[in-house]
Amino acid sequence: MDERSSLVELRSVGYSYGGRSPTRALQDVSLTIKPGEYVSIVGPSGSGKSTLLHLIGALQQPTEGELWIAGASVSNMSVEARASLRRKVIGFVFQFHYLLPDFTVLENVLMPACIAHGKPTRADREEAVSLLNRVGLGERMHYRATDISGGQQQRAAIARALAGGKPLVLADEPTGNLDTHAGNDAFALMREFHRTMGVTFIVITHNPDLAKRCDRVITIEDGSLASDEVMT
Amino acid sequence: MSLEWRIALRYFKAAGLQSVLMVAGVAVGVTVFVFIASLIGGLQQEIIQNTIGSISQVTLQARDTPPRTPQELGSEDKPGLAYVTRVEKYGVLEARISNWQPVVKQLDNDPDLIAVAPTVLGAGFATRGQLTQPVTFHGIVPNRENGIINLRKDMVEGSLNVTGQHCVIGTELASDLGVGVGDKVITLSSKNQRMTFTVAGIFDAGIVDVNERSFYISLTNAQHILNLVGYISAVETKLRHIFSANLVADHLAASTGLKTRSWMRQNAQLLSALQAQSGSSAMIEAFTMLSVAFGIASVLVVSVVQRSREIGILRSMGLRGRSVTLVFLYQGIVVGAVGSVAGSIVGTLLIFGLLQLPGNTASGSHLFPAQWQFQYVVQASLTAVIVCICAGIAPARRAAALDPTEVIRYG
Ligand SMILES: Nc1ncnc2c1ncn2[C@@H]1O[C@H](COP(=O)(O)OP(=O)(O)OP(=O)(O)O)[C@@H](O)[C@H]1O
Ligand SMILES: [Mg+2]
Repeated sequence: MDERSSLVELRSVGYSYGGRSPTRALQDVSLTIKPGEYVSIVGPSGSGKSTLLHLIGALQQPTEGELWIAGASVSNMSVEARASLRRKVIGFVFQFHYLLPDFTVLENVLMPACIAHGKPTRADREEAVSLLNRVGLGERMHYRATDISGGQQQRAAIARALAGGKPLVLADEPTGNLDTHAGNDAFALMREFHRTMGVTFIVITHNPDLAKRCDRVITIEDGSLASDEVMT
Repeated sequence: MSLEWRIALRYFKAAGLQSVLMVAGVAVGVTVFVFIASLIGGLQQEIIQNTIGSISQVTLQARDTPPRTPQELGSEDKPGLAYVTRVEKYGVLEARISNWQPVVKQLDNDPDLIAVAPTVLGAGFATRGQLTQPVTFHGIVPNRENGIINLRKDMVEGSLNVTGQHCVIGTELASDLGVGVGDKVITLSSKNQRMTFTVAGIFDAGIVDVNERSFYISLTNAQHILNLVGYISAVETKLRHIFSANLVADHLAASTGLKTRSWMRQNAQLLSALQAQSGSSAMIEAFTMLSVAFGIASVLVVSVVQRSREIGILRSMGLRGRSVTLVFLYQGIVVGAVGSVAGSIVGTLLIFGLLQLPGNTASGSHLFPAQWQFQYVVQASLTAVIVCICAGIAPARRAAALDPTEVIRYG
């Protein structure tokens, strides 16, 4: 991919939830994220941060405006085409549930490869083991996902999000459920992967200290882009 | 193994009690299926054996002959006017088949038939001293007749020997006339022919009427005393598939030009009783499987709800909707397969246990005339697996339709 071309591009994107009480969660958001950026999204609760992240993650489609991910227009993609895009491009780290509880740590990290091509290859295994070593779980990779601590689970989830050489990792309050120490660890790991592998991270956080440590901070208020600052 | 199978098996193992309950549900269904099928199947087998099993299943007789004209009756010899005032019908016993050997030969080569027996029938009396009883003469070829009604098995005294001037009679007739094996009986046929027979054997067919009336003699003797030399009354047959009687009867009527009677048309009541039995056993099986289906479906629906976060995570990783569907269908297959094996074993053991129970010692039969067949196990298992797949369809579609953002958003 061209250095200058954008990895994520939103043009006047809006999103309204349908249902019984239709909610306009996002409106007129335009922004561009280039490969290799480390972006945090901040804002009050209910401002639309998760909605924005789900749009960027191709889990939802904008109800207004245009959205491109890795050069592909998401606005009129089918459900399965979006699933395919996620398989190739996007890794997720969630706040509440990190791993699949019925599988081992290693199996969890291999899951993206299984989803992409059925059976993990040797290369997939080597990659998974090396990622787990890097997040400090080399010893525990055969543990069941539920048999390790929350901080360890979140580090394994980061390894899983990166598996398969995903260029874009989206994290929704990844440290929100962890104590300060474990949260700092997880955050440091993501920065480390960003620095060494050039992976693009977009991280929602409520923690102002962590936000300050990112290269760029996007603030959402009331469904709109309130500020977009590059840290120095 | 595909990813979908691996996830399905992992979920099946992880679900613990839920999986045990689903498997138990299927196992009970398969047990009931095998049990009912064996029981009703065995019962029918016994009823058939005791009824149609010991009669001619398709009988060939001469066609009703058209009434003869006065000319044929030879009235031309006596000039004048003749009026036909009454047309007498030939009785069944009078109907006769001429040129019967080729017919028997043709039937012998018919693959639908397993036994063919020419018979000569006629009425008359049997006398011993002062005692006289009405009888029905059966002129038979013993080896052939035995294929139809298994007379040898019914012999209680002497043997099935009708050679020369020997006869075989039933227990009731023997006691009515006060005769035993070796005693002589004088007969008078409806054609006024007398002949003396020596009793060679006494049978008990289990039916009083038959034991009282039937008087077995050789085909030749019967032809002789009934004025039927060169003719027979009927050809009795036994079929390979007894429920094909109507079809076989029709094709034999066409190919031999004779009148045919099928047991299915003669015994409509028995037939409908058998069909009602088959029908009710099919109903029980169907409703059992239906309730199994509802049970499996409801447990799977619950498991979809319980798994919805994980489904959401897998979907966010790009798992295809089709794969989510397959995971739950495969779970249905696993449940169906494991349940079928368990149910087949239990059902089979139950049937064999039942057969160990002491039954009616007099008739030597079992308390329950159950008859286990491997075919029942196969049918039950196949049905169960199909039912489980069907039960998985709705939950699987529901799982595939889950919106990942809904489940990811809330912890
Ligand atoms: N499924 C939904 N149906 C209707 N409205 C929704 C739905 N999900 C979210 N919303 C609404 O959309 C708005 C934005 O929600 P969103 O979850 O994106 O906020 P957020 O910034 O992530 O909040 P938080 O910091 O609490 O996670 C809120 O007003 C919320 O109530
Ligand atoms: Mg949120």
